[in-house]
Formats: sequence, C-alpha cells, structure tokens
Amino acid sequence: MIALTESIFVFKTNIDTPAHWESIKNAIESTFEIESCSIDLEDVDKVMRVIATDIDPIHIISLVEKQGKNCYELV
Amino acid sequence: MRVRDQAKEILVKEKAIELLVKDGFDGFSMNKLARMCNVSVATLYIYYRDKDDMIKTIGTELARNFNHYVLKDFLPTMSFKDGLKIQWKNRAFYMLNFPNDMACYELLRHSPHAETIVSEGMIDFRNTMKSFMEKAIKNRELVQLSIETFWSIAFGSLHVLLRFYQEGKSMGCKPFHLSDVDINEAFEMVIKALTPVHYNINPS
Repeated sequence: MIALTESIFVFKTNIDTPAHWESIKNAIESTFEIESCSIDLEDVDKVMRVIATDIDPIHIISLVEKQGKNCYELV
Repeated sequence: MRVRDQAKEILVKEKAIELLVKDGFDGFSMNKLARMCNVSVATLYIYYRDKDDMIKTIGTELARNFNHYVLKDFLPTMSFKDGLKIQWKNRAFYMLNFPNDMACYELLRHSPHAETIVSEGMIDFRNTMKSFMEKAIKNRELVQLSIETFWSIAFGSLHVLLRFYQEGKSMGCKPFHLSDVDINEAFEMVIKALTPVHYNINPS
C-alpha cells in the first residue's frame, strides 16, 4: 500500500532488457532515497515508476540518460 | 509527479474487469485499458506497478469480495443443509448481481496468477468451509468425498442453472427462465446425493 504522502513519478523510457533495468535500478537505488522503483518491460513505453517522498524527477532523468537510455517524465 | 485520485482508481478497476472479460487475459493491455478509461497510460501506473501487478491485485480483491458475499449470514456451525442453502442463495445473488465480476474472477482463477489470487484472497473462506465440512461429516450429515467431487456436486448444478438463466436459454437454445421451483428441486437433489444413507429403519 502506498502512503498518501509519497509521490509517484512515472517515466517513459527505452530501457528494454532486464540487464539494462537491473543496472539502472541499482544506480537509482544507490543514488537516491526512494521507497521503490519498478519498470514494465512488457509495455510499449517501457514505463518506469518511482515512489519517493522527496525527490526531483530531473535528477532521475539525468541519471538514466547517463546510463545511455532515454527517459521522459509522463505528467 | 502523479497524484492518486480515488474516483479514477475505481474507474480503472471497473474498466479493467470489463476488458479482461471481453478480451481475455492475453488480449488485455495497458494501452487498451487507458483508451477505455480515457486516461493516459501513465495514469494507470499510479495505481499499479505493471500489468501483472494490476491483474493480481484486482483478482485478489475479487476473490475477497466474492467470499465476503458467499459467507454472508453463514456460520460453519450450521447444519449442513441450512449452511449449503445459504451458500446457494449467496452465490446466486452474487452471480446475478455482479456478472462481470464473477466472469472476471472465474477467468483469473484459471490464469497464471491463480495461485496468488487463491492463496491471498481465500484463506478465511477455505478455513470456514473446512470447518463446516468436517463438522457435517462428523455429524453424519455429509458423505466423505474428495473436495473436488464434493464441490462439483454441491455447486455444479447451481452454476449450470444460473448460466442457463443468464443466457436465457438451455440446451438446444431452448428458452429458459429460472424459477424458485427449479432451484429448490436441484437443491433437494444435491442434499439427497450428499447425505449418507442411514440404515436405521426397522425392516419389520
């Protein structure tokens, strides 16, 4: 269950393999204080979902891009 | 940042059930669902991690809800006949009033997520039914059978009659209207089949 005070950030990406996702997930988790992050690799938009209480999505986008992948926040 | 909206969450759930019933487990996609709800795909991800998470969550909720209705006014301490009668009444009520939920629940119970749905959504129901059946067997109100045989006899005829009613026709497309007489007749036959034969009548 997600607490109402937490924010959910949803991103469209081109992360397309479990290996890529594993590496990006590790980078996100070791850089930011987040509640959870997941990706839907079956979806056409490879939607990444990050739950955190205090985070600027620009930093997440920048980190994913540094890993060589596209990332756009879906607002 | 995405914000949760309870009304939208309910809409998503309703439409997901509708889409699963219409297109089946394999034909279900987040894109189709987003179009049906008139929301962006991203909105769906506020509520669920992915398609699998959505199906497991909805399936578990449907199981809990179904069991809540089936066990309404039911106590495992009741006599076998009274307890089964209440379950027939409750099952008929649920199937006739929530046909989409029932169809979706049946579909998900036979999907790859069945184990999660059944184990998380049916614990109370299984324990209650186990206690009810054990007591009935001990009191010689119920014959000892495998659970699968018991279930098919106890509820099979009810489900078939309700399906005929929902389709408006029975075998060979014969028009069918369900009456209390049909239900009671089937119920008495079920009780007769499941009740042990007592050899306590004095032949002389």
